[in-house]
Amino acid sequence: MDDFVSKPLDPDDFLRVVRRFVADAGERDAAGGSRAAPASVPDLDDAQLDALTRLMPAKRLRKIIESFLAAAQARLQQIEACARQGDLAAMAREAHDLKAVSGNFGARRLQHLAERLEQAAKAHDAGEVASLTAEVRRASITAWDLVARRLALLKDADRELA
Amino acid sequence: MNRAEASSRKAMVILAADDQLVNIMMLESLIETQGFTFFGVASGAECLALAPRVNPRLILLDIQMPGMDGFETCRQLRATVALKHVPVAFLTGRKAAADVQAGMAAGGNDFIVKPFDPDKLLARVVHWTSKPAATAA
Repeated sequence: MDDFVSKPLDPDDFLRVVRRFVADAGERDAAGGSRAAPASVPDLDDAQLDALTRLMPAKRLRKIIESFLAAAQARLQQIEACARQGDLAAMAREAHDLKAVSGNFGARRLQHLAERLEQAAKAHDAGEVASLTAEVRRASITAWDLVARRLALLKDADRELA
Repeated sequence: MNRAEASSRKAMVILAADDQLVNIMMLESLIETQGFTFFGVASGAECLALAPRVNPRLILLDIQMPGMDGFETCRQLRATVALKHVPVAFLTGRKAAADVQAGMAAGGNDFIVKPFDPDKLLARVVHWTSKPAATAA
């Protein structure tokens, strides 16, 4: 993990860190290429966030998204630590949690990769775990960015109401 | 939702156990917004400690939790006279047939796979809370 945002989350700080991650990831992709998840899996499923937006007050959703974004960084950090230590049992548990949490926020591609990572860790496939860990990092950064944009829209809507 | 329905929902407690705080926050917001009273805990042990005190109409249980897992939590709920008949829905990232069977064998009533569609989750909550309150045998 190269950077972190402390809690409570400051959205501006968060976006600053995300933008740096996005820039870094872009360079890495250009240098090393990327093995993508199937093209049919979108980075963000807007329908999931639309449903949450419809079902709960904006203030609540904002708080939850902020909490998701803060927790997501810790989760990626854990996954990368498991990869470094070769702790595949812990990796399977972390990936399992990441699958559910990211999917609940509509981060479909990340959910899909986390599921594959969980399976690879359970199968003790160290090579696949290493390559999927790198893909999970890239997909995490993309998902955070997209979810943070939705958060910014919620804040704009709040300001218009105020 | 009319006033009588809103007041009856407020009297219904939904208890959820999940070690991921963000999952609990999501459930809390979705379920409270529908008018129910919500309690969230982070472990099976906390669920067992709180359940007898809040008289839940539905218990949502994650399976993979540190310490006592959701299956064991469900078995212990079923061994408690006052909680024997309270509906338990596993809310879990696991979806293998063996997991569903283990959940049902542990005494669960429903199996909801995470990530979930928020509307479908709420439909399950409404389904289970629409049944008459469970009474101790």
